[in-house]
Parts: sequence; structure tokens; C-alpha cells
Amino acid sequence: MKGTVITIASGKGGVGKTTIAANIALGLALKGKETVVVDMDIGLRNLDMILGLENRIVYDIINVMENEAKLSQALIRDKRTDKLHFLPASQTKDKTSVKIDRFLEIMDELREKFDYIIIDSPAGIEAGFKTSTLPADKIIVVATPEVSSIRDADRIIGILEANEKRDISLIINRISYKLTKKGDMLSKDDVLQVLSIPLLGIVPENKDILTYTNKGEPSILHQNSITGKAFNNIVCRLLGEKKDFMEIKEEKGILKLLKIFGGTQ
Amino acid sequence: MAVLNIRGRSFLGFEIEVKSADLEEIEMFTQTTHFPPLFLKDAPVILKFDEESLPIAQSLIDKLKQKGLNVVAYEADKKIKEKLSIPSIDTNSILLSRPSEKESVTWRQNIRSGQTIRADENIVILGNVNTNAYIIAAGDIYVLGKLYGIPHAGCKGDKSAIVFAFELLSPQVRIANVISRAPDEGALLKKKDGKPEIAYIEKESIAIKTYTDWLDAGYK
Repeated sequence: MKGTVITIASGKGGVGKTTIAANIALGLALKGKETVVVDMDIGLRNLDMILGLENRIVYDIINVMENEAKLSQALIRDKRTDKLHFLPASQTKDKTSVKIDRFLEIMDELREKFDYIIIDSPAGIEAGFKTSTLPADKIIVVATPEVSSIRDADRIIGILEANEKRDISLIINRISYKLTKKGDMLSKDDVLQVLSIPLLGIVPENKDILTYTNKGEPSILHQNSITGKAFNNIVCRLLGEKKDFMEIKEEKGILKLLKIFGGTQ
Repeated sequence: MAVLNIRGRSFLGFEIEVKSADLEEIEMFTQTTHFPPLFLKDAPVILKFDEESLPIAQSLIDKLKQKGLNVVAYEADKKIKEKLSIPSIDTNSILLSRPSEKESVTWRQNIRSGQTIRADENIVILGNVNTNAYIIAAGDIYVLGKLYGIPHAGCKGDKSAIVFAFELLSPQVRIANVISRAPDEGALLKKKDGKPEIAYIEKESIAIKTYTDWLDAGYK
């Protein structure tokens, strides 16, 4: 088996890299692909929590790099599907503890065992980001429709292109119908025009994602939720299926009414 | 000293400046094996006469045509009274100024945040220049796309340098040692009408005009 390494990057922090990494990884696993998701945000790990696996961590990637544990000992099997594994980051160390050659060795080892290796890269353009993109076959850039996020995405795309990375695609996260319509937020097309890389998917702004994140249940598990559908489309596109891009619509009247009466908002 | 001076003339083909009034001397020259040079084959040629060489104009034209040169027009400082067999042109009315001596370098890509392009020539960019990208040229800058980044034209002091962009959205424009700042509005959210614009130095400060206004105003 020769797996594909996909790195999720953004430049700016807080745009949803980790959530997207968790959802894509789980989505690929649910489609029957052997998948491992690697948290490279050493020192600021969150992926374990979003996946709901924090209570299972014994060894982490730094332990593996320093030969204190075997790779198989550090890999955590997901509680929902045995196709998904998780390699946690260390919380007690920082990015300077990463040994690049050992990291690449670990990635090669993972390529032998898995179809897809999803790397959640840290924010910024420093060593952590560079190391995470080094083994990548594909890079997914995450941006929200805000000026600062787009500038940072543009910057890292520039760096990636300078490093001969060619397969770069874009996920626009947190598109809000209301704000785009009002003109306070950039539209999908505005973002694409500036970044000019292929679009892999759009994820609408929705409150449900926050609930799922805090519960440790990635929204792709909830196929009826709007973000769950969006992530499912992205996974399908990654696997080569054609899917139309979701239209960002206003919530329908009756649903809205129900929500108001139900007090869920 | 050469009797005929051959020069390339941008889209006008070649120019041959006639520097001698002695027809025989010229004939001797054109008899040599290097004449006409290969690059003149089929190219449009313009003859340039000065006052001295004017009297021999017609016979020279005929001679060169016999040689197989594609002589299309002549240019002279003074209008010739007698009519020659080819039309006269006044190249100064076609080209407002001599074509810039500077070479141009072309980039066929988007220039992204954090990237800097530097050249001792003019810079032509086929693509967009995004925010926080820097374009620095000793000559002019032409962006055939949207310019969100910061251009510095004439960075070695050339005050005649210009910045051209299909959409000029830079927060700052720098030309030679002059700098100007855009009004305080968010450039990325602002919708412009999408007209090409030109920035240049006028009275020690930077002026920005739409390209059509600039043309109408006579290139300034």
C-alpha cells in the first residue's frame, strides 16, 4: 500500500483546520479507506478533543520520534470505526522538539499501512508548518471569507508554490449567507479570484459545528446537518467523485419558525 | 564611417539612415556580399534622409528595390519638393516619443502575499498582484490584472516611470522618490468599476487617472 499524504494548512489560526482535518479523516474512514490523522500542532493539540479521543492518549508523536515508543503503540484507534487511526501531538513539548528526518521516516512508515494520511498543520509559516507540508502529496488550504485569513492563505500558497508543491486546493470555511448578502463578507467568488487555486469545497457557517466540536463528535457523523453534508461532499470530491458545490441559502421559513418556537437558537 | 546605418524600429520594421550624399559610395557598399543582410529580407524598410542625401533619394530607392529590399516609405527632415515613388512618413507623429530603451521582463503568474519582484527593467505581469506583494522596477510597471500589492516604479530615480494596472487597488503607490497613500477604505471589500488606471508623477506628487482620461489628456 502506498498512501496519499494530505496536509491541511491555513496560515492564519482559528479558521477551522483541525475541525476540517477531523471531518475529512473520519469521512474517508467511513468510506472504507484506511486513514490516519496526524496532529502536528505540537504543544497546542486539539485534534484529540475534536475527535473525542483525548482519554485514550498514552504515547504521542514526539515519543515516537525519540524512540520512546513504537509507532504502533502511539496510534490510537477511533472508537467509531476501526478504519480511522489517530497519531496525537505532544502537549508538553513544543515545535522545536520535532526532528524532521524522524518525522519523514514516520510518514513513510504510515504510507505503507494506510490509504490516506491527513496531517493537521499548525498555524503560522514557521518550522511547524514547513515540516508538516514537507511529505505532502496534496495540500488543502483552509480560509474563511475574511480579509486577514485570505492574505495569510495567499502567503502560504506562495510559499508552497515556491517549494514546488503543485497539488493545492481550497476549502472556504464559515461562509455566511446573511453577511455575504449584506456585502460585509467576501463571497466565494471574491475569495477564489484572489487565491486562484481549485476549490475543493465550501462549508457554511453553522452553530451545530460548535456543539459537535465540544462533544467530540465531528459533524460528518451527522449526515442531516448542513456542515455534515458539506464535509461529505468534500470527502467525495477527494475520492474523485463529482459533486456540485452547495448553494449557500437562507434558512427556510418553516425551519426558522420551528427553531424559534423550539428555543434551540 | 558607415554610409548606411541600419536600425530596428519596433513595429515599423527597419530604418536605414542614409549618411552619405555620394551615390557611388553607397553603390560600392551595397555591392558587397554582406548586403542586404539576411534579417532585412521581406522586412519593411524605411529610408531616412538628411538634407545632404535628399537629392539622391529617388535613385537610391530604385537601387535598393532592385536589390530586393522592401522599401515602404521614407522619412526626411524637410519635405521633398519633387514626388518620390514611395510615401513619406513622419514617424514622430506615430511614436510620441522614442520607444523606451528599457527592456521588459514578463511574469505570467499571480504574485502572492510576501513575494517580491525586482527588476532593472520594466515589469509586465500577466496576472494579479495580491496584497502585501511588492513589485519594484527601475522602469515602468504594467499589471495586466488586479494590483492589490505595492508597486515601486522608477526605483532608481526615474520620475517619468508609470504604474499601469487593469484595476489599481494598491494601498500605496511609489514612483521614484515619491510615495502616495490610498484613501482610508478597505481595498479588498471596495468594489471598483474596473477601469484600467495609470499612476504617474505630476508636479512632484503622484497622480492617478483612468487610462482613457490619460490618453485623452495626451499621455499626461
